[in-house]
Amino acid sequence: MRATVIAFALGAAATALLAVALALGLAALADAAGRETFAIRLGGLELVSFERSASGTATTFGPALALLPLLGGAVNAAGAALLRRTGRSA
Amino acid sequence: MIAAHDRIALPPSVERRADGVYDDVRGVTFPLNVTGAVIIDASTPSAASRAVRLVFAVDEERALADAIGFCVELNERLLLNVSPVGGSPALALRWVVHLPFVFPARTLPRLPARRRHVDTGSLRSILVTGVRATLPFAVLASVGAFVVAALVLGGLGAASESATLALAGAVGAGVVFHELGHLMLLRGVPACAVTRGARLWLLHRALDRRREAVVAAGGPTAPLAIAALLLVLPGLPATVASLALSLHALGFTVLTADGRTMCARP
Repeated sequence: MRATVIAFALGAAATALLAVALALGLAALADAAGRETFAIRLGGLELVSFERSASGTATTFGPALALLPLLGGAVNAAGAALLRRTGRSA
Repeated sequence: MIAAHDRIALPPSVERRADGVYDDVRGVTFPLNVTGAVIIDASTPSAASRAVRLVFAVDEERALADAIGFCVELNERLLLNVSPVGGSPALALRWVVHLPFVFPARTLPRLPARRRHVDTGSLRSILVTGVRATLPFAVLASVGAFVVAALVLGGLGAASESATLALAGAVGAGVVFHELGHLMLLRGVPACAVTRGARLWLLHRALDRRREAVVAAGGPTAPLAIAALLLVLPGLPATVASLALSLHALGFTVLTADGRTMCARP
């Protein structure tokens, strides 16, 4: 149980960091490429949106950024459980 | 992948003893038979084959095949460093030449591994020897990242010299920070860096499970800490470098060896 919780927590933290990095990276790229607007949605949920206005640029994180870590944590915990069962953890 | 005239030598922290070779990093002595002792004392597989021919009265072809085979086995066990004639470009060429022969068997030519010395006695020595051991690999990673980033950013219409350079620099620096993160937590534990083609890893004395997990976590944590510092700096290059370093977060998942050590050890 403890090992599963650790795997979930580490997977969730890693996914959260990567999702933020991906969102920021895409927004930076959109800015550098001179895009006016830019948005990424996962299903119906928004991950990140970028908008250029007269006063500057705005990057907004959407609710998908909260859901992705839960998904990443679950996948990592499942992967870790599978590896422990098959003895291929090394 | 090892040729007759390549230089062979025991890696640092591996020493020849009367009863075999002692690996200080693993803390183990590997026994050698007479053939092994003759071969390991030579400077090239070719010289080793001449010695084998004299001692065992075998023909030249077989002696050379045995000597090279023995060197390959020792290199696989990380007990012998090989310096190819012509350096890394010659080795890359050999890899390409071998590819059509082994690829039909759904495998790739196996490049020789190389152990690089790291002194874990103090934080200063870790910093100096750790950077020296990982720098050649980091430079190659930087060059590769620069080429890929230049092509991808150019293709997306977002070409930026400073961002491309920042990305390439962050990839290389990330490699060094990552390994230093492990090494800082391995203070006092015999360890060395090992490179084989596009792989770099640390070999160290066996640790208890808890410390092994802590050491594994140290690798991805170090570049992530630098990424967090860079994120507060203004400008696109700092942001790009920070994002590249944040990819080390994958090190906490079962996709990587570090992550498997933290998450999936029974």
